Amino acid sequence: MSGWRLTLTARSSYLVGGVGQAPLGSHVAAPFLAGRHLEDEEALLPGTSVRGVLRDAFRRFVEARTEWTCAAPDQCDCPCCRLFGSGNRTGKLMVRSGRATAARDPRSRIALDRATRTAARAGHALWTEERARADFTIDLELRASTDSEEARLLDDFWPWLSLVGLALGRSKSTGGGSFEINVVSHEREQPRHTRAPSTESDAPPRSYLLSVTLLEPARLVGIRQRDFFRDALQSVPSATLRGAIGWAMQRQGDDALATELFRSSTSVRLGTAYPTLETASLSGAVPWLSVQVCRGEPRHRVNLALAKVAWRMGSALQLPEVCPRCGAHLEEPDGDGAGPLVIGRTAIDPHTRSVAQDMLYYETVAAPGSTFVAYMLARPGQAEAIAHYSELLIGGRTAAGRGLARLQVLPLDVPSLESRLAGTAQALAALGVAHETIAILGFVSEAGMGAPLRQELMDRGLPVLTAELRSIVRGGWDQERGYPRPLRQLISGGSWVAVEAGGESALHELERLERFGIADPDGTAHAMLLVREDWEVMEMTPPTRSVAATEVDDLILGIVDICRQYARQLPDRSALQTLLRYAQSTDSVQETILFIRYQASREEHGRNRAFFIRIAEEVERRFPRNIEGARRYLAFVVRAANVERPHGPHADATEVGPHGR
Amino acid sequence: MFLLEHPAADEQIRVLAEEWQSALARLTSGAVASVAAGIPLGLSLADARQHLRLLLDEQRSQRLLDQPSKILLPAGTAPGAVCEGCGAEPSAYVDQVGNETERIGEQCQARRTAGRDAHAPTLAQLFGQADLIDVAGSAVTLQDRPPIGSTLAAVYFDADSMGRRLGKLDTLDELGRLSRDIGDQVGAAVEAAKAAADQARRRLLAPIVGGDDVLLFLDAAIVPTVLSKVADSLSSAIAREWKLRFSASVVVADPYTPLRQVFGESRRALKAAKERAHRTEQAQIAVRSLLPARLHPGSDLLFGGPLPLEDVVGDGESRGPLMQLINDVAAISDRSQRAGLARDLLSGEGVAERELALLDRIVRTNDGHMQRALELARHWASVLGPGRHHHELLLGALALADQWRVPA
Repeated sequence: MSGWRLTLTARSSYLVGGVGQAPLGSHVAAPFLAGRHLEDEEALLPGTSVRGVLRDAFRRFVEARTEWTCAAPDQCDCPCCRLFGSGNRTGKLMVRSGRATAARDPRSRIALDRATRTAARAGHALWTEERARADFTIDLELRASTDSEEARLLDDFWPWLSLVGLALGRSKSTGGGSFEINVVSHEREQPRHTRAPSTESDAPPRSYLLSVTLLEPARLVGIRQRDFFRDALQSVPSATLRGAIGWAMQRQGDDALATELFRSSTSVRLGTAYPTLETASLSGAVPWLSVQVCRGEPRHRVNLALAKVAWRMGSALQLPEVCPRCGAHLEEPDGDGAGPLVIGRTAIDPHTRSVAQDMLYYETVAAPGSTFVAYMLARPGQAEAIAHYSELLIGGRTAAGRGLARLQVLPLDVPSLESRLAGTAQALAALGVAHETIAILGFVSEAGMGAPLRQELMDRGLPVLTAELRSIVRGGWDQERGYPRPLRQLISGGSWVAVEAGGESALHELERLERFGIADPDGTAHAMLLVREDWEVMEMTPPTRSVAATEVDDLILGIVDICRQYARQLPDRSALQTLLRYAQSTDSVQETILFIRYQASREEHGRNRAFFIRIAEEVERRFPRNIEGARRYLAFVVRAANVERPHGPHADATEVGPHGR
Repeated sequence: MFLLEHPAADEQIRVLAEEWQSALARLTSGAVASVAAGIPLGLSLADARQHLRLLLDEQRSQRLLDQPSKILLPAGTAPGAVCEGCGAEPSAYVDQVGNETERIGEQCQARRTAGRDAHAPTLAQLFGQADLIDVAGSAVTLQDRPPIGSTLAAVYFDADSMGRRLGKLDTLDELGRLSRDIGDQVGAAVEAAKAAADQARRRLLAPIVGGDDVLLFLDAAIVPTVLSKVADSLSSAIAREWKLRFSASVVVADPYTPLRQVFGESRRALKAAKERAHRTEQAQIAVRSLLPARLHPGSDLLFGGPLPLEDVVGDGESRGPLMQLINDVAAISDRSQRAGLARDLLSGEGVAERELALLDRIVRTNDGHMQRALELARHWASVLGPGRHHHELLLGALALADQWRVPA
């Protein structure tokens, strides 16, 4: 699949829609991908913005070079609409979003009253913008072949664009959002999968974990709750995942492979993908009903399903309120993974080339960096074929920089059915239930049922003893037929049902259930079931404090100590800022050290000499070849000296830093 | 939960369940179903509650076990034919919301009619809007939207450890008296909240007032006033006699966030408050924000976790440290310094870096309010005990400084 790679080098900071509301004190902010405490400040350049400005530039280019006039948003078949799409058609070009480490650039601005030529006093005159400055790489991919006219226009367009550059976002006319652009042809490196998975069709299917990590925001929409509000799904339905993998194959020309993998009698079975922080754990990702977590440190996951089954079987109720491992109080789990991201968007009026009236809105998406895992049952050859397509486009608006994700296929060890049943019998015996033929079936996918579940299981000789089921509402869009799928109430993943598996054929039926699930008449939500065995109290992966944060803490505490040691010899702020400015003006650590020593030797700094020399020694010891580290160190020195200087207003404070004085 | 003394309790349960279901069906046109279960009271009330919960869970599951997947909208339903209110039923009616029309379905229509019949305030009325406004001396228009920049809040109060408390009662008479006293108590608290809102020319929506639960939707600006009135009312002599303790949650959100979502978050936050109340033996309040901004992390509680309720509403004579902190933060007159303070607290790779940036800013600006806010936050964090950092308290106060109006 061919495409282009655009390298955008910032000439100025940019400001597009922004993530949700602006931070306190700013009226509007660029879309920084914000966790509460970021290690690296990353900014997003939404593909929607890039596609918008590329479309606008291409339209003007086409209108100047040809007889075409773009009539969008009305019905139009000009090359611009064919390539970049319009309201009623999808374009041939997909524009990806960009992510890059970025610097924040806060700008305060003032509106002038044109009559008085002074600051407007009617209100809203002073505002603060938080812009981002970063260099981006944006990939453009052709999803369909171009005709000769389109190809010729594009070939001429890229050099022209490289000459004029690109401006996007707000305040373009005053130099905002300006980028130098370099365009190179970019062939996707991913070759087709050549080995047909059917060659191994006799091999038995085995369990895998499918891990999907979002590289771009993904638009996974839920049902419309008000006309203007669409929430983001917290999971990826199996139909969406299957469609994304199939489409990845189709884009490489492997339609037959997609059909064989997902539409044959030996097709791959996929569960729903759930957000997780524990990438190699299915039981940690599926939101099992009856699972509680303790508030201890570390936290434990406790499964109460068996206690409920035992109670149903006539045993006394033994639902613990505290963790059997650490004694901490138990509570409902809060969900896993990153929360949704809210991105502000505007629609541009193609005629005025400015924001259309009332067209500011917010889009809720799954945040880049989120990881989802799904259970997959496939033959080794099938799994290998899927693993080959490591890049997916998932969810909606994929042509406009949404949904790029990395796919991984990991083998999953599931113990034999017999051992799982034996484990359940043993755990039940500990609760006072002497019953060796109970199987707890867990849903690892959402499930649409054509007939009642009880009847489906009874028909397989598996009478239901008890169950804990929840429903979930799911709809969708049928891409092939081009109309909405039904909106249905499904059984949600994480539900479970306890069945009597005592008959002769029960083991065989359980195996068949795990292998084939229960078919959904609508074809989009096949029930995938696993006989559960996760009765042990499990320790959850604790959130780890980043190494970088610990190192920075130690570094700062060291600087604060030095400043205290030389409290009476600290130079004034401007002298220290001179050191920092010098460090920022050179790429050489040794030159910076030489400058610090030079400052120490100057007569007017005689009182501060010892401090300067100590700082030079520290920089040399800690950052002999790392100018970024040296700059950062000096920036901390400026602040710490300011705080520790005896005449400062903070002289009487009793605590500095996290550990106090 | 009902306690029935009649010998034919099974029959009463059946009648009660049927009437309950028919009332729900009428109010929601069949959108909501209910389940009912009863057990003989041979156990402690706490155990009885747990058994009942399991029975109800099981009945809910039975419905899904015994029916195929329900189709809410058939395949191919055009987007224009879907209810604009819930998105989950075909549209059948045109409804007027303020100055705009919406096509809604039968179930939404039934719910809205029930709300209007009960004279429930509209969203705009919560913010004191919807008064008749004289435009140009003749035409009259109706403000049907909350003012720009306004924030909705949900305040949820619930008594702590009621199950355990009920389990310790000896007689049914005591149970009946407690039930009545709680009902009176909660009713008085809602009236106090309404009076406080009236004084601020606002209105309240109280969709849940029952048992020991109170849920209020209101303008976030008046939350401090309403909180203190409700807390005051819930700590009356009767509450002290029964040793009742109420924990609470507050969720702030954009006014157009679906109330179902705000309610869900309120319940989760209340649960966190009650968990902590259970451990500390002190009423707690958890504050969560759904506003989409850096200072409002929807997935975490503000202030790093629940706070003692007394620290928020004060002790009746003096205001609590939270209100003082919000006041100090709000008093930082230079907005760019507040923005900088937020940036100091949110960026950086470690606690030490953030603290250094914060101290440096205070030294540079010589801002007394900032200095006072820091000292107060440090002191308060040390009182709250380990696990709470003063940075989290400052961040929470920064987030709420623009949302809550602290009474003088």
